[in-house]
Amino acid sequence: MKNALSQLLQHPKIWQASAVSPTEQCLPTGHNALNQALHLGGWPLFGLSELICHNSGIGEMQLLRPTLAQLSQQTGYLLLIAPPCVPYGPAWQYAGIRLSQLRIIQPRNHADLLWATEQALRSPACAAVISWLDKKARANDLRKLQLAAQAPHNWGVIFRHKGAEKNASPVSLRITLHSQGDSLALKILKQRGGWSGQQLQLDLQQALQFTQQDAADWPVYHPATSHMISNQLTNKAITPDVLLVHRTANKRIHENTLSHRLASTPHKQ
Amino acid sequence: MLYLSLALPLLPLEIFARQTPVDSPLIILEKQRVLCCNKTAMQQGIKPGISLGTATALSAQSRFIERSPQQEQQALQQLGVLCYGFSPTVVLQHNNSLCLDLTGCLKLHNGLQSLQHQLAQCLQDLGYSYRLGLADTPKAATLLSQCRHSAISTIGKHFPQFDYQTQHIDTPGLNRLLAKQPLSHLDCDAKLKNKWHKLGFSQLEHLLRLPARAIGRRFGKDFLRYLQQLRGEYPDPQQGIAMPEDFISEQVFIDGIQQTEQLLFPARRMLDELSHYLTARQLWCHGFQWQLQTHQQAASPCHKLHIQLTQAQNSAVHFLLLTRLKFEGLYLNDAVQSLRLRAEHFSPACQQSKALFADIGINTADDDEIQQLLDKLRTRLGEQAILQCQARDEHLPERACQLVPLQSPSPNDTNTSSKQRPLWLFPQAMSLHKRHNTLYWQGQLQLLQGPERIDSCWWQEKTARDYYVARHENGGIYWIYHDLSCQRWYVQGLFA
Repeated sequence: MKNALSQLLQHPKIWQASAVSPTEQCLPTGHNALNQALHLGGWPLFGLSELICHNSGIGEMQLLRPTLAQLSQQTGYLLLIAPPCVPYGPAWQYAGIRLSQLRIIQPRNHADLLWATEQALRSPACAAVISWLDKKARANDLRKLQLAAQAPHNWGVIFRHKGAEKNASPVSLRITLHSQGDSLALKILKQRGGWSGQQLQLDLQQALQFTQQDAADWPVYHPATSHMISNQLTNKAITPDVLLVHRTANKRIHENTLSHRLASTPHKQ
Repeated sequence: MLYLSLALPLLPLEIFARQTPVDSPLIILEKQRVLCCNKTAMQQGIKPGISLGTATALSAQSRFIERSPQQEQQALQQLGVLCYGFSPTVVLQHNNSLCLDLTGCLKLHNGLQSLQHQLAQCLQDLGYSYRLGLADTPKAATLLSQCRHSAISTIGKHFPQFDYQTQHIDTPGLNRLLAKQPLSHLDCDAKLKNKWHKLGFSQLEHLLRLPARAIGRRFGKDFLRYLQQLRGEYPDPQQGIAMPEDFISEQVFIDGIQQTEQLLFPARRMLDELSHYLTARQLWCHGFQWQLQTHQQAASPCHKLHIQLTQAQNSAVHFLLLTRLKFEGLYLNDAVQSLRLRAEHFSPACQQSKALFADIGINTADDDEIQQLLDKLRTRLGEQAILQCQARDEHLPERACQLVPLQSPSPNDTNTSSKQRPLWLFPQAMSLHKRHNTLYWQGQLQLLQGPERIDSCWWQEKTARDYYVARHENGGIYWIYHDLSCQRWYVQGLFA
């Protein structure tokens, strides 16, 4: 009985969680919390990473940005297949990504999209392949892409629509992304060879999420206290508390507040 | 001196039948007489030389085609290009044969045997049947290649007149062989041949026994000169072929081809020819064009398929791959009568060395592989589907970045931006709704940061905008602006 079992376990189609190939390579994600949650320590190079994004613009590209910036320093292309919008060059440069390595593919239909993704994943010419799949993509198509991504040539990422998490997928890593307050919440649905179910939050767009205060609440220089400052300047170091006081009643500055801007523009439909 | 002559006795037939095997009897006519025919026709009793009437009587369902000297010449020219890989001097001769000057070529090809083998392989791939003749003068080589018995036409056979040990011609053996050649194969006037027949001369040795002066007096000075050149007693300078400037290859299908997959077989041979041509001229091509003629008339319109390469190169395998992709998207509503390959734009070949120990891992991107991938994508998806992103020094976001096709110069990597900008722009800025001091665009937007004034283009159409960062109720962060000229709100980008 034991003999039969061990024979069965040697079958190439039976995958064992304990048998992680030592050759499995990964790319550091650039986010420590995510690196720790992934058992490989980064994005898998064997196979695809599937990101299920509940809404666009919640910080999904910020999640990929450190890896893309690192890969763009190498010779391979970064291929964006059927991106949802037009990449804005200066911003990509600001993010540290070399534009000379960036290529955008705009396929006309679903078949071309899958074909182009598969060709790109098979080719060692690409360092990263990021493909936005449409809703028509089936499990069979994903299996094909996953097979194409088996060679450790490149980093393959596919974006899926909301609701795709309900169906099974043969990819190496699946993560759902949704926004939670100011941060991006990630849930690892599946990672091959490791435990899944981790949930974490990343603050990726802190600089953007910062809400600018109304100008009314801005600290301003108060002339009434100026003589006090000049006194203090001569004596000892000043503290910002003394120098700046809130002046909420100033009507002129109030015109500059964000809410007032909205209110002051004529209403057009 | 060493010359190899390559005779193609069935060329008039093979230009029609080599690509697609024809099972029905096929007969090539010249001046209402049978010039040559295929095996099926032979079995029905057709022989070269019989009249059209006799042939029709023998085999009613035969297909008769008039000989096409122009296409034969074109095929011969292509073969000349191929042979240029073996010898620097290739001579086109009028009786559908080529003569290669192999003097000094044997060492490069590691002896005659290996050269013979390579040549045979090439010709077999192209589907031509041929006869070879080897001698120390071009005329003698041509004479030997005409003969049905002594000529070598299969791989592995040896020339009796050549000493493979020393790689030199065996002169007594060659003279014996020449002496036995029938006079009817000599390249001279039919009247002379008639004269010899009457005199009872049948082999060359009968003529060679006569003194030279007698030959000159009886058969003319031209013939004496021919005989002297044949025996190597008089110089016989040869004019090698000049490489054509453009590559053109054409294939005619007598039955027509209905399916595009069937076209790939002849296409592969033509691409091989293109590859040989490029190798011979030490060039790389920037692209090529297929023309598919669906009607017999040459003037009628045809399908034209351009294949543009990202970088000039010479690789028949890659060319075929791209051709396959291009043909897949082709819909034929009529049978293809002829297929033509044309290449015009070339650049000098520049070989690049590759790393001996390629790194294993992610940065193994090879220049060739990049080109191959781009070519594949361009061929199937079209020129406009593959774009690169170019940043410019402009204030307005929609002008600061442009998607350009691959042909334009590669974007530079100098960083022009120093501000936080959205990674995605919408192709067109979209209008927002404002209700009760709140902005709506598929949900509510809340302003986070701003304004940042961008005021530009006063010399054209003045544009003044206040840009804000806004958070959507679903968590997305957008880049919106308030157009000061029309007092409306727009969403332009997406911080993703």
